[in-house]
Amino acid sequence: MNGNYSINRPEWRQLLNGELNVNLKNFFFQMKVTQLREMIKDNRIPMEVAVEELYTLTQKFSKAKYMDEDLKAIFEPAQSSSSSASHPTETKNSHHPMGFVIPGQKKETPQITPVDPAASHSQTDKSINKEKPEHEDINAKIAKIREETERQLRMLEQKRLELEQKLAREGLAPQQSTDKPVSGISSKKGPSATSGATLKNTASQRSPKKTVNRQALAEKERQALLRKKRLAEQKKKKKSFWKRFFGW
Amino acid sequence: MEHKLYAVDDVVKMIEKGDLLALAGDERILSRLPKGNWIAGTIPYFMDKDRGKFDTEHIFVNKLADASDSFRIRSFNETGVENFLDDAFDNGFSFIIIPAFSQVHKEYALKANYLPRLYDNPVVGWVSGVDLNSTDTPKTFNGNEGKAHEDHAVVVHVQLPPEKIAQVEIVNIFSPDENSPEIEFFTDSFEVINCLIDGEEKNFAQFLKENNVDTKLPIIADYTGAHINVSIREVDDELEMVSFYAPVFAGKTYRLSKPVGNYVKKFEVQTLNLGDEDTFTCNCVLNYLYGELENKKIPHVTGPVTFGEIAYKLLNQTLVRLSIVDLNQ
Repeated sequence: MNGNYSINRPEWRQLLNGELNVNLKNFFFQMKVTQLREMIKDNRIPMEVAVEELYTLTQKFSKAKYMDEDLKAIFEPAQSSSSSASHPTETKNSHHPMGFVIPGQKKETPQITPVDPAASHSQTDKSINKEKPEHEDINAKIAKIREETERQLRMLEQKRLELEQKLAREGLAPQQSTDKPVSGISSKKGPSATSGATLKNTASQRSPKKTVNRQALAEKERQALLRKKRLAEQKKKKKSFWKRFFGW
Repeated sequence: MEHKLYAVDDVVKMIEKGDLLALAGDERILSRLPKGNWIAGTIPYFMDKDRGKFDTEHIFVNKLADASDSFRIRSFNETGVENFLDDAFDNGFSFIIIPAFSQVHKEYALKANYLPRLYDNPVVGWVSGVDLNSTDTPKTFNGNEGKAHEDHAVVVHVQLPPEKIAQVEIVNIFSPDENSPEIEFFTDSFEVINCLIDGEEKNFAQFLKENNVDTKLPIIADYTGAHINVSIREVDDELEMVSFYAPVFAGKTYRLSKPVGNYVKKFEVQTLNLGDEDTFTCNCVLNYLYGELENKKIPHVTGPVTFGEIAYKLLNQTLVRLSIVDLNQ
């Protein structure tokens, strides 16, 4: 594998924002990209952090089955169409044995800023000192990414609250704002309720079919499920009563 | 060590040796095992070396690690789902067994995909079940404690040396029907009433009935190229409610599946390049039943036949496989 998959390549971001739609083959890669795309869409992780996390984990699993093929599918068409001058410094960086470029501290592409320059630095050191296990660096990097994510999410949450307060003062409070917090990366809440607004927006923007209020439909569905589950429970109880006393 | 069904006495000897074992078998036989480095789940259906079989006398054994390796065995209920990866190693894999239809099963299915560490290392395992003609309850066993649980998942976190990584693969013989409408649901749930069919609100049970949809086939969502199945458990005509063996998720687009035809042939083709070097493989009980896999052999495929498969998240009607890659090779 001779690809050049530096973290500075725009394809990482394009893959995560859905601009680049590749049918991946490695199962980890497929699932991780899907998870990060959903988290980005729900504002649960900033793009830069998602790119860093995906890049680091992809590095770790670069020798897993189909990973090589997947990376080629993502990067090679771009590589062939873009001139090497578009990433002039990448050739100077140290190369991962699997074709990853170990990022240097100097950032050439402004849109992706590695979270922790020290982590990047230690990665470079590691590639020189082959005796140090590769996973130590990668896992340390992942931990740093998480810390940074949480810090950034706290900031985002703070900004959201400030914005809400401002809107409230101006009498423009967002609809059901408390239902869609910028929850932390460690938040375990699924997108069921929270993604309603996002889904509504994206669906109405993309789909020419029909505009549906998904948030309202979700609430209606939740209420209906509660009612039907109660009925199902009663049905079950009734059934077991007749069975217990009369055998039918 | 071959992954296959073993007599209880042989399993006892393996446990005494101290190796880390993942076991599958009937509850009564698992209850006879001594304490040790093992976790287990109840199930009497297997893909054994020679063929698919129903067996309540033997135990299926997968050796996950040597006695000298580092591993941590833990149990947790539904309140522990969010933190179950806290004890995982930096490099390795987590092997998990969850009792079917328990609260922890439900919580895991709904929440796993949102766990921040879920994809750091493979999380692989299965959902324990029972003989479909019995009144037994699905259980898990923590061999360290020598205890059976109806409401706890058991997990073992295994450490791998830096020169190795674990990888998970799935084999899904189903594929989305290109003529299927797009189906979207409103909430993350095991049950649904209404949905959007090509953008129009409809009752899902009615839709299935009106279109004579074969409910033995799953509905399928695309995860950046991975086809993830959700199998239909029941269509309640009276309540007009559909329940599934795994949750559907709001924001995902599902499609109906193409018919499969011969399950054995499909598996044979799709497992051709898997090779024999697995650490663990499991297949779904619905594939076993609908595909009539009893007494049939699928090359490269041995393991418990399960009530749900775990490859990071809960899957249905899917073959899951864990293997170890040596980075120096």
